[in-house]
Amino acid sequence: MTEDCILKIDGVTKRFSNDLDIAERTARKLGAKIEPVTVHAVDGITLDVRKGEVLGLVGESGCGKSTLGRMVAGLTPPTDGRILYKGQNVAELKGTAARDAALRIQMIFQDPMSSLNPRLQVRDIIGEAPRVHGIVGRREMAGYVEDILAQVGLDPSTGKRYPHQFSGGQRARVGIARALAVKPDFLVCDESVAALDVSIQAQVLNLFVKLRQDFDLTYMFVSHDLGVVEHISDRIAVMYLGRLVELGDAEDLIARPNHPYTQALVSQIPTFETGKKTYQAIKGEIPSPMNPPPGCHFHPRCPFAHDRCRSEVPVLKQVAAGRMSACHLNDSAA
Amino acid sequence: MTLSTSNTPVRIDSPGRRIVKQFIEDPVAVVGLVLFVLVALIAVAAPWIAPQNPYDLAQLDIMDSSLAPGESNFMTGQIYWLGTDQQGRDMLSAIMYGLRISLLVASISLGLAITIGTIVGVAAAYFGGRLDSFVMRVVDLQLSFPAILIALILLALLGRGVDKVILALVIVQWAYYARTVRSSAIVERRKDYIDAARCLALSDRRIMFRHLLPNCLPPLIVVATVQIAQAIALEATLSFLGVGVPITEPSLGLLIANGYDYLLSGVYWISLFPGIALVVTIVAINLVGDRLRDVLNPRLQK
Amino acid sequence: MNPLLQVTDLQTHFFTRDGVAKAVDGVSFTLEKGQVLGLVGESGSGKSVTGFSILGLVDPPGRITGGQILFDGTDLVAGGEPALRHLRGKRIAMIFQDPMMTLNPVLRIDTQMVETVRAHEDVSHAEALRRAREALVQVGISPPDERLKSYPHQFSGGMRQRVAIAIALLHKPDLIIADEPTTALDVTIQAQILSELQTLCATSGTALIWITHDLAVVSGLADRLAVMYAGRIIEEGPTAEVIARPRHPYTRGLIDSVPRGKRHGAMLTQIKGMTPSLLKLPKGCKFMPRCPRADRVCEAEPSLVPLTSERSVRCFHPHDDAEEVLQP
Repeated sequence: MTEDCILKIDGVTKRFSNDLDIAERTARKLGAKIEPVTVHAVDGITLDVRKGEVLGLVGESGCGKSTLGRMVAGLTPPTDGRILYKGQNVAELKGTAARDAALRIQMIFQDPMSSLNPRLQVRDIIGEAPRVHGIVGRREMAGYVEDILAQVGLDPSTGKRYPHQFSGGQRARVGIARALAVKPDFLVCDESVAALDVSIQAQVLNLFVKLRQDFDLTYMFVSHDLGVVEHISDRIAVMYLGRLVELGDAEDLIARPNHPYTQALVSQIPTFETGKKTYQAIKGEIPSPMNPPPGCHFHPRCPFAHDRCRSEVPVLKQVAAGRMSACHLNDSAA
Repeated sequence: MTLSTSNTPVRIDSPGRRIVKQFIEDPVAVVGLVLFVLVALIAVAAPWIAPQNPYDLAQLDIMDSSLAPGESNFMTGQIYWLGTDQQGRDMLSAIMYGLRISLLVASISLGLAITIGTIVGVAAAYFGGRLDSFVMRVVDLQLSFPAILIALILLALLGRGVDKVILALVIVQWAYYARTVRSSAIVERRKDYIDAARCLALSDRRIMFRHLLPNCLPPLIVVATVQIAQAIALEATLSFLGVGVPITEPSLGLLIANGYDYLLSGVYWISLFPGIALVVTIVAINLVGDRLRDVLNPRLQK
Repeated sequence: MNPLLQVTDLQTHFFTRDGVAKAVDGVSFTLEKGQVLGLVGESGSGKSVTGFSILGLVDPPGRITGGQILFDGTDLVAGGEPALRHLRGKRIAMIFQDPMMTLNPVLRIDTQMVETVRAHEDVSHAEALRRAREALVQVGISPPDERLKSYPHQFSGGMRQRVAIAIALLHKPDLIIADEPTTALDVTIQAQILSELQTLCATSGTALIWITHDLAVVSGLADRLAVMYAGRIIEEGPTAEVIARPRHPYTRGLIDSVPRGKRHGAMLTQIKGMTPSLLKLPKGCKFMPRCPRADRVCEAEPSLVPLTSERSVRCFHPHDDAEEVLQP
């Protein structure tokens, strides 16, 4: 582990399975073909996040990027593997040590409305956790909340309002303020700008860039929008059906994608056209994570797939300096 | 299709003020509310405003037994506006005191049942898993039996008494609240603000009662208004059947039962007036409840 | 020749508890046969309400309070529901952001499609089924016979949107109004649908109004763009012109706020402030409070002024034609 690694995701897997209920178990004993369904939402991911960097995590629906984000934020435990924060396994900590570690990693959610409790005033939304955890005394509370509101670009006098009295972009700022109030050093942003209008999205992205400098934050930026991720990230990790398929320096990865899936994603980044564009779509649907294809998950849609891809799972390995990719094509080229 | 003004903070009204505003738009509901407040005031103030204390046997005169409405005590000249019962008790006073017992039993049982039901329901929704399955099976089982049947069996085992009626009503009713709270809590539980609270390392208890519960209240309030009417009716039924409150402290149900034997001999007032009081109370509560359901239902809001 | 669709001074207002929201306030545009128009704006700009107004699908408390919608010579506003009923679904079709607005979850795809065909045309069941199958093939759904017998919930989101598009295509409409149909879809699926719609419009001569918040998505598809803000069109013109040389400060701001192709990690150019409430619009130019070029002149209401025969802009201080923001 390198010096500057703040978070280590070590072989993390998340399986969701629906256990059979009594009726289904009975039916099964009587010979019906009912199997418990297991979904590998995240399948053996190993990844380091360096202190102070922005790691972009991209992929399409069902790729497990949000589940990975939620595991990092401590909202759901991994089925296998460990998540080490500053070398400590967060899941094994107890008592105040567990609480402190949990507060260090905060999450910024997608929907600015549903992520704020509609019955609480903004000053309570922001101030509750710092007060409960004794980060700030009761007397300094009002000033503390006002400071944070100002930090995220809100009028400090808005503390007495309820979430429904804010616009979408302002609610997003309140969500960010709530996370900052417990003095985190790691933020997981799960599609945090996806629900915002374009002009507001730019404001919030700028805020993320500013806060990173002000508070020395590390981000894990989860998004389906490669354009946004490219802009904000230092490194990008691409996921497909629960597996990491490519990882590398942001600019380099966009400029020279190695994995065929990354190539497809990059070619789909909508760009401004001044003439009619012919859309070149990659074929096929995203397979169901309940029944992923064998071998390389991407092979049914891959224009370069060969026999080996259908049977053998490609391993993520270094293909250039600072670049990892999981594709058999790299072997045959060598 | 909705109009996209969600981005813009226009409405300054707090949710509470909006509810009040919309509630008073319906005159029928306002009448219901006024009636209910009146009934409740009478019940609370009964010892001070009733012409006599119907439980104080010394104040009763057997000579006044079964006087028709409007007749008066020939010694004191006191007018019995609603007549007297077979023991010479003033029916008006008896109804006031009866209301007091009925509402007392209903509201205490309501309070206890809501408390138990809410805690169980929120905990089931928040923790999920086995606790949830277990609690909900118990609720299903209990709700599959008619409430009156369970209450009758309980009182047959426990005997009579105000406390025992309250206990029976709580046991019969907590399940409704548990189910209502759980179903709305399970929707709220999936929202991001609960995950955000967990991220902030807030305690489970705090998340359940400060974050989850307040957002589950509207349906609970509606169910509570329906259930308090149910509780009053149920208590009246039990007392009418003679397994409820003791004879010394007659509730409305028992008053109706007392007059039942004389109903066909023309002495109608002993049963009729407590009956009217009971109906007015229940109808008033239901009117308020219906309107509250409309006002609190987010789907009916424009 | 008359244009296929001519909207003139359309007014759609919502009469809410808190006042009148002028969701669409004086929108005019024309659309030729086979043309693709991109209607772009942020939430609350009135772009969707404009689309709904053309089909007469505005629900109370909203209603069309003025203007004219001429579709192939028929005034849809004056004609009202009777005029619309036999156009809707037949000559004008709509595709929604959520395909489940079109699809009935409890009916099989074939039932729904056959019903749609026979609602407007007196054809046999077999013929209707043949048409349904053909439409599914057109949108790239295979195998069509098996898919016809499925229920909507058996499809993925992208597939459902395709079925909704297939249903829209059943009557070979002259005009399709698409309201953010790819916003909820993954990028690889979005590209598939865009490419298919593009081919379909080109081969069948169907005109398309593509309503979206994403300028980048529509820029490669539309012939013309109309940018909306606070219920009005603020800039209109051929796509290439608008994208390469936006004249209105708002259009320019929108293009600048998109992070694509900008310097990595740098601050984005942002439009200050937020979208105004339709109930409390500023006087004069509606964009004035957020506009970097605003001055006293903007306290008057600007009108949509034609710059060339093709382009018009609603601004007192439009950007210079020579300033290019994007190199093609």
